[in-house]
Amino acid sequence: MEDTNLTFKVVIIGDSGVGKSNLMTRYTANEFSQDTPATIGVEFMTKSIKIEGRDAKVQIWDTAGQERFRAISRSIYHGAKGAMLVYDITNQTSFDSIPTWLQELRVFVPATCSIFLIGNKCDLEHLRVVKKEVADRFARENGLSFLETSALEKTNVEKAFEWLAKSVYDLVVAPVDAAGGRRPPLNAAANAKRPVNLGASNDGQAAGKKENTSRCC
Amino acid sequence: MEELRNIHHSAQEGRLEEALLRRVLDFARHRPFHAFHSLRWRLLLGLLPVNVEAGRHFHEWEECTRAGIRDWNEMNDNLQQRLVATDSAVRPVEKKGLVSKDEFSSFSSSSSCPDDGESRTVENPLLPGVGSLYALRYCVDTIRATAQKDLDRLHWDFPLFEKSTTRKALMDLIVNYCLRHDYEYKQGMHEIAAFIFYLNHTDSALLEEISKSPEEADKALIDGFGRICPINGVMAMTFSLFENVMGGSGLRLYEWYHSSEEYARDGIATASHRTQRELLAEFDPVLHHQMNVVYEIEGTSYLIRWLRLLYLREFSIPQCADLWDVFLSERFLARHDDYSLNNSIVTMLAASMLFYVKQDLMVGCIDALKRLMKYPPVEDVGTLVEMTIMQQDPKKNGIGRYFTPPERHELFGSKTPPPMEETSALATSSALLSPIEVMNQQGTILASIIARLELLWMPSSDAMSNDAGHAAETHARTIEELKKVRDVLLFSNGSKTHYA
Repeated sequence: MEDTNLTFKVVIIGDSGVGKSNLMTRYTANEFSQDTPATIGVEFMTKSIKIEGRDAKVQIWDTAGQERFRAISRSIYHGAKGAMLVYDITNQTSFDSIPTWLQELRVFVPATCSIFLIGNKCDLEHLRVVKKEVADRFARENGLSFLETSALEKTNVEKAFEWLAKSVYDLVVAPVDAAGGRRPPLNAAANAKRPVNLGASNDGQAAGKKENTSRCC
Repeated sequence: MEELRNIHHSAQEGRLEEALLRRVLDFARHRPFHAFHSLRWRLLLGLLPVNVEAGRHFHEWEECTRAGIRDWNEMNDNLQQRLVATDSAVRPVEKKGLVSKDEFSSFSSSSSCPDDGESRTVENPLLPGVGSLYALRYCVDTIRATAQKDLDRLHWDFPLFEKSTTRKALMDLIVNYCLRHDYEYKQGMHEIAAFIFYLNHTDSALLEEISKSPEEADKALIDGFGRICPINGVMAMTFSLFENVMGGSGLRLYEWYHSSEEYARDGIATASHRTQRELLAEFDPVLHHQMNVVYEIEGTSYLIRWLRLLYLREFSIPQCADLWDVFLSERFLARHDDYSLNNSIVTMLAASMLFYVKQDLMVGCIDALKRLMKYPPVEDVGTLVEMTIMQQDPKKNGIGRYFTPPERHELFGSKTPPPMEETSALATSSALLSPIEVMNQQGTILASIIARLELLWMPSSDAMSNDAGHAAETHARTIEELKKVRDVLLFSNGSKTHYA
């Protein structure tokens, strides 16, 4: 077993205004601000965690929601082991953009990158426009893990990042360890484990959540 | 008031250009925030003529100001009226080949909405025809949707920005700018606009306040400038300045926001790469290697914010006002020559900033990234400006001729070298002294320089408080002073004397 400290990179992407920066600051510094300015370029923070008993450091890169140049995207995505695709449950447009973000992400990251779909601002249930079932189906169809969060109320934020870190560990680090340090073929690693769908309605973790039955308009 | 007196008197005497540049680039004097930066910038960008006939400046500047206000009011009023018209339109104009899904499509009556002469090319065939009011509404709504998020997140700690009228004013400015130039809104433009608006408003409000109880001797002066910076013209002046800072006749900042190609010659990605790969190598090869080879940090990760916002997030508002004085002075001096933002003081300053925090950047990759994401407060941006100008214009052919570096005599306590004014005076008057006196004088200056350098290498209570930044400052200043000694010894009249 390697003794070196683990370090891996996570990128947070999604439309402008969905709450990417507050997700990052809530997780790394336990801070939420109503005064967060628009991100210009990227922001960077780190968090030290323990995973499978080992010390690890997560590098989190928060991006500007409007940046579309691939030259710039390439440098931000380079080396990312995990990604969060964030939308705002009160903003249909931000969810409609997710396929575009996913397509762009997949151009730049390897198949072993763990990708989570995050529906943020779940505290604003009364303003919800993106049904959980719709997002859940999209996540399953595209091989993403799914979770709803609230950076404001700190709901599921810690959980989202730690599950992402665990997923990265399982997909990339553990197979290397198991092979005695030899790096397995990417295909094998990619198939080692399907992403856990944390948003599934039958998931025990979500059992406590209030059920919302669909209503006709 | 001193600023206004200075501008007034030098304009009256027909030497405004020289006086303005020297004053704007004087970092040895105290630089008050209320230095009428917006007025300086209008002069430096040519929005107010600098080469004005002696004594006629108030008249001409007042005319320019009135014209600017009239143009802005016409443009904005026209836009607002057309937007109102879209709300009452019977149905949108339908172009041949386009199918309208509007709810009014079932109406049989023809639309009475006039087309305008806009020549914008329609890229998306499903969009409404370019000339229609509906197309205008669509464009405006698109701009507003994205800009509103950013304006709502503009939390500058000034009462001015808590007013809803301020946000509306900034939105109107952004919409008008994007429509006039056929640009989409890009994040960051809102802060450039807000900064310019804030300075215009501050300057006009200050003048209005002073005019309520002026000194008798200054009354005519205040009245004159009150018409050049009127409080009811703040939006017009802000729009003109913003348009010029962004536009081709000004700083050309639009190249860093709207380049259509990723690696456009003047685009933001090219600027970022050049800054970290080329300019930094000129400053410090060791740091260059560390950043680019050892760490493999991408310049775009932090330089997009530094450059697109012209450092508004890296320094305080007053410091940014001083920095913009320098940027616009450089632009002024370039005149109609090719001015390239990618090859300007704006990018060279970034390299200076990296060098200034070299100590922090050399610790490790993570610490370096954190420092780049959150640049430390700088007490005096004059030191950074000095490093930058020395690198950009080492022979003082351009902006270096007008620049006065900051004084730092307080750093060395009782061993303070002569103040800059005194040193300059001594150098200037050297021609009147005998050759031996010149040599003795320069020897004294050399002795003070040597004493200062020794302080950096010998531990003392004063020296211990210095950091790498101060070492860099001292280095830059020492080179400057050594050059002066060299110039005096080689080129003064004294050097022509032959000794028996």
